[in-house]
Amino acid sequence: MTPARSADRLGDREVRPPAWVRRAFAQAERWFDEGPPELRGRLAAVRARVARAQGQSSIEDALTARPATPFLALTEAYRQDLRLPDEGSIDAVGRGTLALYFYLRAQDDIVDEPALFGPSFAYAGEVLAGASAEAFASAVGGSAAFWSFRRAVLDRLAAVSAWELDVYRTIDPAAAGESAEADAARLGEKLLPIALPLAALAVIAGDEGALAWIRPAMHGLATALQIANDLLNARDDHAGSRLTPSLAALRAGGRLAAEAEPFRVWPALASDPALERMLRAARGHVARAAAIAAEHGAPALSAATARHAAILDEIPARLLALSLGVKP
Amino acid sequence: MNNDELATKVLNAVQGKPEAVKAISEALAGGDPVEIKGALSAHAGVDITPDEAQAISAQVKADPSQPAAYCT
Repeated sequence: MTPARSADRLGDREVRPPAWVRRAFAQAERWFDEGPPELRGRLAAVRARVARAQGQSSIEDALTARPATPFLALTEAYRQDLRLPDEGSIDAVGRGTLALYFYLRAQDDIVDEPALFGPSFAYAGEVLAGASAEAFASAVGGSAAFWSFRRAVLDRLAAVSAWELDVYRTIDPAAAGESAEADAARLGEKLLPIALPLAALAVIAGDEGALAWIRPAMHGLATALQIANDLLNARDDHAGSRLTPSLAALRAGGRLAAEAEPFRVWPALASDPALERMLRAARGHVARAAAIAAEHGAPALSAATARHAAILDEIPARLLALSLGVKP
Repeated sequence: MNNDELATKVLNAVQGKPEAVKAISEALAGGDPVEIKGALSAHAGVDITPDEAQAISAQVKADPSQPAAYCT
């Protein structure tokens, strides 16, 4: 790793990856390499998919180079707020977080990419879900507060994902255009699991009361990042006939027909008022999320939340770069 | 100038210029090489030949060679 690159990790140019992150990745490699022999091919496919989707060759690069998933940076920030040691319980939380991330990515691909990840990939997902639950259990024990929180968050993820498939993707795009901000907030719950490692840390620190504000704060950030994800992935979603609030907002303005060639999507979005509309909504969610964390004595988490919003300012230029066929 | 060099030149020229990003993107969404050539000249100060405009138009219409690269 070059010095310049290592300083550009965790979605934060000023923070080097802490040792617990590297230890968690070492463990993650073992899940993939040493899982049940019958499932290693599927586990390898999940690992390769995560790395390649970010244009990287390893899962550690994929999850820590900018723009990084927020899971790890938020966890490190809140660990600092709580003044928890950088070894011990945080290692278990790190393992639980990474396994959860891979499990959710596998689940997502089974639904959205059935040609590549058929139903039997659910068995690989089970290995990762089990690893996550075991790691969190070793971090928080039988804390009813944590496990209830986890269940509520994953229940909402499942319910919203089913609503997206069964209802949202079948509704009239014009109507969806009008409710794009509200729908984005609802679909933001798909990324709410970013709150789970924070809840575990709060329980470890003896502050179960924090779970009451962690959820709305992380729902705000999750919504903003889901909007960013939808904006940058708009071409694929359009080509796959997967309606998103950002695509609905764009179509409602009349600049993109449902049958338009996919190449038009990124540049149309970059030049349409729908882009600023969705970015404004996302920035509002981030600002509220950061404020909630700050009000509850979590300044590092508040700052990390705000820093992750930097991707929002980069999106117009990223869309132009993608339109021109170069790496943003 | 190949496409990558041209794209990099355009991206550098429009940094901090949101209206230029919009105008060039609008031309790219249309896909017309003449419109693209005009937009790059007017909003990025990048003058290209008709052949380069054709190449950029073809690049825009091609399947993406890069992942969108943002999986939360």
